[in-house]
Amino acid sequence: MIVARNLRQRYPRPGSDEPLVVLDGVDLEIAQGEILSVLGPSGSGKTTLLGLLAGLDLPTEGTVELAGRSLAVLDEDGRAALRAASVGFVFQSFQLVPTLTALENVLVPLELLGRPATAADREARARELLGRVGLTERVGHYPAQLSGGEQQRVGIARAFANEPRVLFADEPTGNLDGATGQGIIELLLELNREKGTTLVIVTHDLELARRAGRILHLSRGRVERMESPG
Amino acid sequence: MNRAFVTAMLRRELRASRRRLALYGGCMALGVAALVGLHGLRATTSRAIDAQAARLLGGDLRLSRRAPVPDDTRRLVGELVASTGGASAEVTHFGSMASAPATGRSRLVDVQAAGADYPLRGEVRTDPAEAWLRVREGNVPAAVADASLLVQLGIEIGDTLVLGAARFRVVGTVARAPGAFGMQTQIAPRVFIAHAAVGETQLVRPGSLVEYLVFVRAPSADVAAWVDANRATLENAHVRVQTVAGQMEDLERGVGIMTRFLGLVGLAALALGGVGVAAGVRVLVRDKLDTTAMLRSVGASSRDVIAIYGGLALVLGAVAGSVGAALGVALQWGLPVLLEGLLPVDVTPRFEPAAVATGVVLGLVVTLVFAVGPLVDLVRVPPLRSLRADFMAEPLPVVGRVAVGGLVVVSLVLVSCWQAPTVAVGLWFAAGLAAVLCLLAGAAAALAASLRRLRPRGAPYWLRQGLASLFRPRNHTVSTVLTVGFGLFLVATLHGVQANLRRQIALDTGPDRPNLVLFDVQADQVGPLEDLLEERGAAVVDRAPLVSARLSAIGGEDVATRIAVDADDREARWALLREYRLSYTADLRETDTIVAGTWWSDGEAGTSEPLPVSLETGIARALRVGVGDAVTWDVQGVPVESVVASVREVDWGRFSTNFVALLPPGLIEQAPSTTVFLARHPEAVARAALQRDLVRAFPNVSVLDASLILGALDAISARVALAVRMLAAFAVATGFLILVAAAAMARGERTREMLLLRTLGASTAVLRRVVTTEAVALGALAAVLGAGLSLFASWALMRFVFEIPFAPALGDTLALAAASFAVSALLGGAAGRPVRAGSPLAVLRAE
Repeated sequence: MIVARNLRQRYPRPGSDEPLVVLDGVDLEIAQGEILSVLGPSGSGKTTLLGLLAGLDLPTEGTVELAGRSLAVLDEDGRAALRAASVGFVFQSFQLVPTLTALENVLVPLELLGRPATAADREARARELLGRVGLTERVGHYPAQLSGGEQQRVGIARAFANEPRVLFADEPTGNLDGATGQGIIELLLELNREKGTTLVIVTHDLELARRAGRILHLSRGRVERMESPG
Repeated sequence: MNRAFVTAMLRRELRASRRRLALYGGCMALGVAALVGLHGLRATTSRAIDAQAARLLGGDLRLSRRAPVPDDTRRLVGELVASTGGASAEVTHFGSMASAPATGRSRLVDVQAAGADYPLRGEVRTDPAEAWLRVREGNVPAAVADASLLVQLGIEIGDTLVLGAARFRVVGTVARAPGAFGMQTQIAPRVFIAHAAVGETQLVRPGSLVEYLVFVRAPSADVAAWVDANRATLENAHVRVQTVAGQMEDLERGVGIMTRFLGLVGLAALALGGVGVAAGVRVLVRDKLDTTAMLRSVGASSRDVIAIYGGLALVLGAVAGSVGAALGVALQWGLPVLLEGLLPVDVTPRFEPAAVATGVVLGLVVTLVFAVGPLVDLVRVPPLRSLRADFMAEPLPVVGRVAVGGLVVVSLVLVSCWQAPTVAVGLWFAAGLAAVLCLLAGAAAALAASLRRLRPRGAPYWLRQGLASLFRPRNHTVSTVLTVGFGLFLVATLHGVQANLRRQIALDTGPDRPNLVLFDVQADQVGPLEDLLEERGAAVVDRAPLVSARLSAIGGEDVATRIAVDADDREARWALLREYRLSYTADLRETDTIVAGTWWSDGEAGTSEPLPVSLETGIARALRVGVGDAVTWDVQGVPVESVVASVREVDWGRFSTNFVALLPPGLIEQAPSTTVFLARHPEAVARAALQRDLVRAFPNVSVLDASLILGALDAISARVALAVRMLAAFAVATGFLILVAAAAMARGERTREMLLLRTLGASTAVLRRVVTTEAVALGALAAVLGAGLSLFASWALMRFVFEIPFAPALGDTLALAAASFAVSALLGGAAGRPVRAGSPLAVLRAE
């Protein structure tokens, strides 16, 4: 589902000729339906790797294939179209649009994809997803009227709305307390099992990481080791 | 582009941002309203002129000449009348003193001696209605006059009015008549008498300023054909032609210039609104960065983002344009009242679709142009920002920044040139506007930068924090200084210009200035008149001989040939055909400055042809002549050769005798001439008595009390100033709205920070001081810059446009600056109030 070869990412460093090396030669293959955790300390390049795998950015060197498409040959709008069709995101800071209700936030990917074809069907699907994450009573609420856990539930409903083939989760429990975070993880994994989605989770949380089929340990931009918690 | 998604998002963004958009739109709407009001007035007035032009002219054709209309012309007019079954009528028109024996008062009037059939179109409406009939019958010497004359002379209907050697009974007042309108009649009120009575007045003498008019009624196509066929003959006979179409064109041009000049003030309000929209959209965009990044990461294309937020700007512009247009339509009803006496026709305001469309287009264009910069930033937001909030787009390359800036500048120039009276004025206006905005923004940015370096480390916390607000990220320094400073600049500059113009008028009526003008003084009257003036204690300030002349050739080429060459050059045609009042003097006058050639110092200079002549720069430019060029004059039938010896800059702003063409004394003294005197008598009562006695002793001499002219000018300038002020009020209201919007933006952006300070233990008093420090500093900076720039602009306008000495209106400028400072500081201070008053927890939850 995802193939990354020799990924390198460098950024110019202000006041220095030496660039900042964030990723340095990462090779990776992730199979359909697999759950991969990316674990590493702050600054190890986890989020950068996720951004490159999801096509949010292009690497300085190396290639990424996502859902059978090489990202290098697509322009930004082409990558956006691929994300709309095949990718879902769960963000650490939820990234809900503050001026949209919970329902409207979940509707965004459905409207972008134009599936289901009618507005009524799209709304029914969004309501169903919100019901699935336990927010039937909160569909008309704005993000500011929801707790952190509820906001992340909306985020998960939105992430699964377009039935993505790959779902990227960036520190999905990073802004939540332990119990709430645990509930979110269970929900995420449950939906993943139901839908057969490939899941890439970036996390600091060792407990969360161990729920994955494989753990990629990243350190200073390099793959330190690949672990199968079994 | 995904249309369904874009439409849904646009609808939701509109729902979420409607209050903000209403504020930004309001900024734009006021400028649009001012322009729509003026466009509407212009369209309505033009329509009224079209409908009333023949009535205003008094016929379908008017011929005029400074001497009796020659027989050839009369024959041609007769042919036109005979072939079309039309009619003709004559009017003799001249300035004269009118005196009232009942009160002993006298006054310069505009005498119109009308033939029996006049007017051929329209009417002379009098009160009582039959008065005009009595004048035309001419059985008894009767006159009707503007009501203002009766008031000024202290007489009533039935009293006697003396014009020269004739006495007339005033049988009514004029309510409406062709010709002069509104404030024009304030300088010289009109008196209508029968044409047959001109002789009895004995006022028409050689050298008198008399205009002979012939009016014709005939179908317009026949008139046009007749004018085309006889143009050369008429021009050669120095007969000026005015048709209904020409009259319409002249009047509409005049109204167009007036409304377009007033429109510049509206345009300034519009530009100010644009600045407000740019500031508002920038804040809106800043709030949408995360949303955009998220939309991009879940698959929205850049086109989707442009469509959503460009659509938002489009709706903002369309709504602002529409609301502005609606306000403008309402304003259109108020403007004719405001401009009473300055419009040539009675105007009934009506809905003008073109004016409304112009307003909507202006609102849209200006909004989009000013929103482009912020929108470009939004489109460049990288999707990666959804993962890392600190991930920003790379700065727009220089080429892109120049393109965005260029778009704003080019649009500003195009809109200015479209709306201004002339392209040149539009360019100057745009340059001035850009310079003021750049100076304000530059000074604000420079101050913020210098504060960053010179932080007062020993100062209390609230002072450091408040001042730091001027330069830290998301500050409002430039936008506040731009809006408050520009609003103040506009108002203070308009006020400064008006104060200087009024001061100049006051100077011209000052103790050392002439206050009586006597013209048409015949050669044999000069001595006795000087004696009378001396006897009555009036001082002669200036005197100059006048010799009537026309141009007959330039550089050996006769005027008719030159006219054919310059057929499309209005200014050149006027300069070639006009009647000149030549004067002669040995010494350079104090209002003249030689800019080319030399003044004659040789006493023999004027004794033989070609005579040296000194021309004023404007007329030299119109005639396209310079030093050394030959100019031949027709001095009342006698050809006089001359050579341009010098070109002079004339200070027309001074109340004195000024001439476009001067000759040395000598040969020219033999030509028939009249003399104009400028005299001064300090006492108003004695001056009135002197005028009365002058009229009795010298009936043909016209005496003008200069205070009347200056009073009329003052009244006109006050009327224009009132209209300008009203339009400036739109700009000020725009500035105020922007300030309110800026305060709202500041509140939104400062909330989190204030709450953090409050959570960390800052007291309400400290928070208040922090917010107040920022507001006071911004208000003070804007006031100082706005006031300083307005003083500079007033000086520049006085120096280069009005060409009169500048005296800064310091007191008024300071008062305006203090008021703008107080308003902006109060509004800025109020921005922090909800945070200070609320509980940190409650607001943090809402955040």
